[in-house]
This record gives sequence, structure tokens and C-alpha cells, in this order.
Amino acid sequence: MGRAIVITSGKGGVGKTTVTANVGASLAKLGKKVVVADMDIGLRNLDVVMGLENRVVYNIMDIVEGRCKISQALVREKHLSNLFLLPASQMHTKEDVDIEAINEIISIIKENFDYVLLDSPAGIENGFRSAAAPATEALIVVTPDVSSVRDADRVVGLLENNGIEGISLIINRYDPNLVAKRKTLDKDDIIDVLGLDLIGVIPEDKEIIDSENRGEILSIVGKSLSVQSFDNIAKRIEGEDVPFLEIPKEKRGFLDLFRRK
Amino acid sequence: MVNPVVFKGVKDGIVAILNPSFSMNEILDYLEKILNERKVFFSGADLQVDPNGMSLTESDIDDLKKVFSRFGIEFSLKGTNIRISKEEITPRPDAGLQKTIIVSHTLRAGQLIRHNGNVVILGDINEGAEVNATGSVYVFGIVRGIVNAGESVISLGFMPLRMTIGNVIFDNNKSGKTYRKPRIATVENGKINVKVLGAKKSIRRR
Repeated sequence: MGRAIVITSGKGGVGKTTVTANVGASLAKLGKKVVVADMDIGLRNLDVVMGLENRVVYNIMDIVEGRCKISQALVREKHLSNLFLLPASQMHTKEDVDIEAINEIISIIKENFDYVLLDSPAGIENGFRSAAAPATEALIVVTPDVSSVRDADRVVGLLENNGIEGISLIINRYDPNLVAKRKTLDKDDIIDVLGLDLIGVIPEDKEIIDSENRGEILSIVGKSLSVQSFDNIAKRIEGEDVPFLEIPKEKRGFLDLFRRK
Repeated sequence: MVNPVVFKGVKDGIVAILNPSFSMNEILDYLEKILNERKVFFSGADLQVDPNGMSLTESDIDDLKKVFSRFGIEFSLKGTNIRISKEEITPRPDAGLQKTIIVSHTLRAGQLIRHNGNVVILGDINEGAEVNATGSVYVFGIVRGIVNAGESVISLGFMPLRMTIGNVIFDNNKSGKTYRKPRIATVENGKINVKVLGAKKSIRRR
């Protein structure tokens, strides 16, 4: 029996889809059978981020409406044979989703895979509910800013009401330089407010945007520090005790003083 | 067939059990329909609404009230369902005066506790959460949200300080002020006074 984990944040644009794709890939690198499910019905993105948009034939609503089998809708990732995408429908809206049917599909997938990562849409409406309903655990993604933390707080409250017990925190786009200048929130302050178990800090990394636009998952093809933090998150989900990475501040040498920023 | 609302007769009236897999709008539409069909049956009945695990927000409850009051029906939220983990905690109107409830978790954004009596919170009150109590509010954590109390507010820290006690609103000019030590806020001479908890009277003249 696999684990169903919803990846959510409340606020949009904090990196739910990126985290889903990369943590999914990192888990797959550990040899786990992983499905990443795009629950953003009507605004699907995960297929693009993974570079699989050309291979999508069926989607989750086709399964719900009986046009295909679950195995036909799953798209295999290009590099890893044990990582699959369950695409969202682009033709439907979030109001069309039948939560019971989604629950059933995910529970069937759970029997055959180690992990189902559910990429939730932003917001707290129907889309979020249908993404959270099949999950028993949750990863909350926040960026170090006040509005993201408050939205995350709201979402955590809703998840707790729905009986989801394992809730962990991922801080994305963390830049120690800005923290030192007091431009963004410190990670300890975020943990203090949300009172969640921190499972990973992902540094601000331009390579993530670059690889996403090329349709490659950074944690498969890349080597930067953020790859390591995704790998560490996967290991911590697996129960390994991995020390947190020290995210270095940007070093400014003498010559940098003359270099244009 | 599954209906958005199931009615059941119990010893002391009728219970309307909501089905959480339907949206609030569907529930309201269905209620309206049923009430129209069976006006006579429901008139004057003692009705309880059982949220059945559904989290009802303030506006949901208002909507329910509107529908029921149109047909002259009073209702109460089912007493056994005063579960703390709900979005909204609405005690039955007949809940005893000055009873104390204990909330054993941090109140997060969007959660509201309203109680006729004292409230004890074992955790923080986060930004965006609110507590309304007619008695005192005791917080074993930091207050970042809004507290409206009848008597006093005791907390391990206020950041920032925003509250009303009785009808007194805390002086807005000072609202940016934060306290990181345990404090007790009470009304003295028509003003909210925040003191260090357990402070001894000084012999020093002020």
C-alpha cells in the first residue's frame, strides 16, 4: 500500500508544481514507484514542467468518465522508468470533479505504487478539496513572505479538519542573502508561526526555471544545490535522518565590487 | 439515492444531517425544496442541524439561518458536534453560562471560536484567527490574531496587541506594540491595561 501525499500551499506561484515534479523524481531515483498526479483540473501544468505534454493521451477525467483504464492514462517519464504522470484534464473545470471518483482512482493507484504525489491547485475551493481528499499526508510549500505564510496557515487548518495528520513544511526559494538583509522572513520565524515539522529548504535557484522551461526535471538532469535539497526531502519522506544543508550566502569577492549586478 | 440532507426523527425533535460531499449551495437548494414541499410537517418543529463532519463557516451558518427562518423554523447546531477541530464552534444557545471550553490546538488563519463563557487555548492564535468569548480568554501561546473577550485576556505573548475587552477597544495608537512575556489584559477605568502576569505591587511611587 502506497502513500498519498498532497502538495499544497494556499497561495499560488510558490512552487507546488516544481516541488511535486522534483520530489517525485527524487523519490523515483531512490527506486520507488511514483505517480505524480496533476489535480489542477482546467489549468494543467505538471505535464509541461516534466516535458511530457506531447505524450499525454488520456487524463484523469477520462478515467472518471470511463473512456480509459488507469494504466492507459499514466505517462512514463523520459529518463526514469518508475516515475509516472497522471495528467489533469484541460477541458473541464474544477466544479466538474467528483471527489468520490477521484478518491477511488487514487486508492487503486496507491495499491500498485509506493507514492502518489497530488499536485494541488492554489486556493481553498473545490480544486484544493479534491486534491486533499485522497491524501493522508501533506507537504506545505511556502516562500519566505508574509502572505504565503498566512495562506499556508489557513490551508493547514483546513487539512487538520479533514483529518490529515502528517503535515510537513517545505520552504521554497530561500535566499540567505535576503534574510541577512531582513528583506524576507527567516526560516525559524516561519516554523514558529506555522508550528510544522520542517522537511526541506530549497534555495533560490535560477536553474530550476531554466530546466522547467526546457521540459526537464532538474533533480534528474541537474547538479545544483537545490537538487541535493530535493533528494534530501525524498530521503526524509522515506524516514532517513538527513542533516539540513547549509545554504551558503553569495560570496562577494573584491572584483565583484566593480562588476555590474 | 443520496440526498444532500437526510432528515431523521429523534426523541426531542428532528435532526437534519448534512452530507459533506455536497456543496453548501446544493444543500441550501435542497433544503429550500424540501421545506417548501412539507411546510406543515416542519412548522414549529425543534430542528437540529448536524454538520456531519462538514466545516461550516460563519456565512454558511447565516445562509442556513436565512432559509430556515423563511419557513419560521428555529434550529440549533447539534450539540454533540461542538468539536474543536471545526472551522466554527457554535455552542447551542442553551449552553451553560460561563462554561469553559478548551481548544487543544493552535488556532490557524480563518478559524473562529465563539463561546458564551471562558476559552482556554492550548497553542497560539495565529494571524487571521479570532476568538470571541463572553468570559476570559487564556492562551498558552502567542496571540497574533484578534481576541474579543468579556473579562480579561491572559497570554504568553502578544504580537501585535489587538483586542477588545467588554466594549473597550485597545488603544489603536499602540497597536503595533508586541509583548513577548506572559501578560494579563484587563479593563481598568475604561481603558485596557496590560500587566506582567503575577507582578507584585512595587513600593515605588509613580
